[in-house]
Amino acid sequence: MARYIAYRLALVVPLLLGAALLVFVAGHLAPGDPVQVLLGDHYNPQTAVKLRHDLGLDRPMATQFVLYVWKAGHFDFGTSYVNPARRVNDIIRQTLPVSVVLAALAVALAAAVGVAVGVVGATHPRSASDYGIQAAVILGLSVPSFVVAAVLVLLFALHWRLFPAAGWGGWQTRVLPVAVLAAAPLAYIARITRTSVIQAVSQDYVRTARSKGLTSSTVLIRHVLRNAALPIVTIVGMAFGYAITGAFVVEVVFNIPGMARVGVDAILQRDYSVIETVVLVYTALFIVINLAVDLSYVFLNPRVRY
Amino acid sequence: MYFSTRVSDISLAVPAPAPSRIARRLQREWPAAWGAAFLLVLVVAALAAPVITGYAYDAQDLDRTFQAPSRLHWLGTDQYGRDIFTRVVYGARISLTVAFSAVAAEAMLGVAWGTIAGYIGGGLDNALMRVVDLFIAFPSLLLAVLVTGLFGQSLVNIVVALTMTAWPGMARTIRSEVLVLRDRDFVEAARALGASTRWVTLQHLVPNIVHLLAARATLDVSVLILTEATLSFIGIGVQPPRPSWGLMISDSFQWLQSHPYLVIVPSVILSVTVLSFNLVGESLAGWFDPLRGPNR
Repeated sequence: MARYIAYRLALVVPLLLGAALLVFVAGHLAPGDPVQVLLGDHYNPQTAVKLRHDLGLDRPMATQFVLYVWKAGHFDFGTSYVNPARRVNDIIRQTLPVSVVLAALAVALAAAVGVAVGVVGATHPRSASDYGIQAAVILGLSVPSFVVAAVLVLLFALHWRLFPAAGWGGWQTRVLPVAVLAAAPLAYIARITRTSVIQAVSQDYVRTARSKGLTSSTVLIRHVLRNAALPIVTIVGMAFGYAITGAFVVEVVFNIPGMARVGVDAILQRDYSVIETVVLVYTALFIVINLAVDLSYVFLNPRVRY
Repeated sequence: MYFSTRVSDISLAVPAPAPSRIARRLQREWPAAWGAAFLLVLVVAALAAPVITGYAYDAQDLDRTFQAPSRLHWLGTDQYGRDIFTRVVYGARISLTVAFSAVAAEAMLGVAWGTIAGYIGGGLDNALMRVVDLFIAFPSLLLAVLVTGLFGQSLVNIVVALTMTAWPGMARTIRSEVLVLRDRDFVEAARALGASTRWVTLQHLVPNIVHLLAARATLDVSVLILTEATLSFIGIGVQPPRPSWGLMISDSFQWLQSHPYLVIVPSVILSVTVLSFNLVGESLAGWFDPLRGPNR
């Protein structure tokens, strides 16, 4: 067990290094020169050389990479190329919490509703509500988030004027983005819950628990859900990953000052220091979520032994 | 060659169902049947785009903006007076071409990668699968955004971006199937008879994963159409004046209040297309699932 945890933790560093290298190489192979973009109309060879030197872009690529990794290891991500007055650390500190709050709310909503819906479907198999849920699930998996956004904005913001159509402030501004971001993970969670609960219900120990006179809610919570929890936790972990990247659409549509928006803007402006850091932070989040999911197995299911 | 035991010689392969059985299945799986019918119409319309519409997808007519559907413009016109039906049909052309190309590429890469890793095993397997782990640890949409954002938004780059997001999952699926097949009797028999690795792979392993590949690839098409639409919606996918459903939706988003119809038309087409690929893909997956196979 301790060995497994140690192995998983040891894997984090090479994964992060790999991600950093991937972005670094991609950034340098890509057409377009950040110095040229930065100077724009003021471009002339002398200032270009000077700026290139100031940014460290004239050094060999390997040196640049090692320097970058060294600084990143000390949580120093430098300054934005495009806006040298801004430190990347500050940008991340301001935007990451927004994205994380958005994702966490969406996942909480998706998990709560998804599990409930899945359990209802599983405990009433082949009923009208089960078929309705199945249809809703496949619809939820097929409709893109920006279409969900369009429909919700049209109805709740423009037609009934219940919530604002964009922005990020009071709780009213959170309702629509969270609902949009929750839609697809909700469908996934409902589907997986339904399948795994149906499987768990048919086990012998469930029959035993029922026959010894436990109420159906006790059986459901103690015996069925506990055993169906593994796949559900996996999918909730994946949902968190989805919600973090799903923000690319939601933050743009609802004009939310989160990290995904910053990332997209940085890519379009070739602001390499910001791009590299955003990617690194995303990858780190992903790795941490996956790790948490895998380790939670051990606590949820004593049969799992690494 | 005497050891050329084909898949069809072994009862492992799925027996060809009788016509009545197919009819019965179509009846039971009517959603997938409708999905397949819709996709057929869509593909034909996309192929025949220049024949079924007389307009050019980028022809503006500023005297006829925001027209309602009419005999002249079957689905009306958009904010620049462009024929929406034409744009939807050409959009289908682009979305389907991009998604099919990416699926073909990721399937080839994934099958090659997964088969080699699973069949040869050992250190090579380990090395190949760590690369897959690295790609999977990377959020897929972020990967796609990086590729088209940094390298430009040509159709080829979009295909490359989509391929990169999908192949690691395919490689993983194929590898786990090959791991099971590797120890089956017919593979061992072929090996015992002296078949080369190449022969075993191409003659025995690949034909036996085709069914898995078909289901998986169909589901991947739906995911990749969604990803392309998302990239185009954010503005780093298909570039104007080329029509793409995602781009049409983002172009018209600012008219959501006054002319919601402009957003609704491409949204419905896009959603129904993805839905159809999902329905057909899941039906295929169920068909080949030994627990729910075609004979049950």
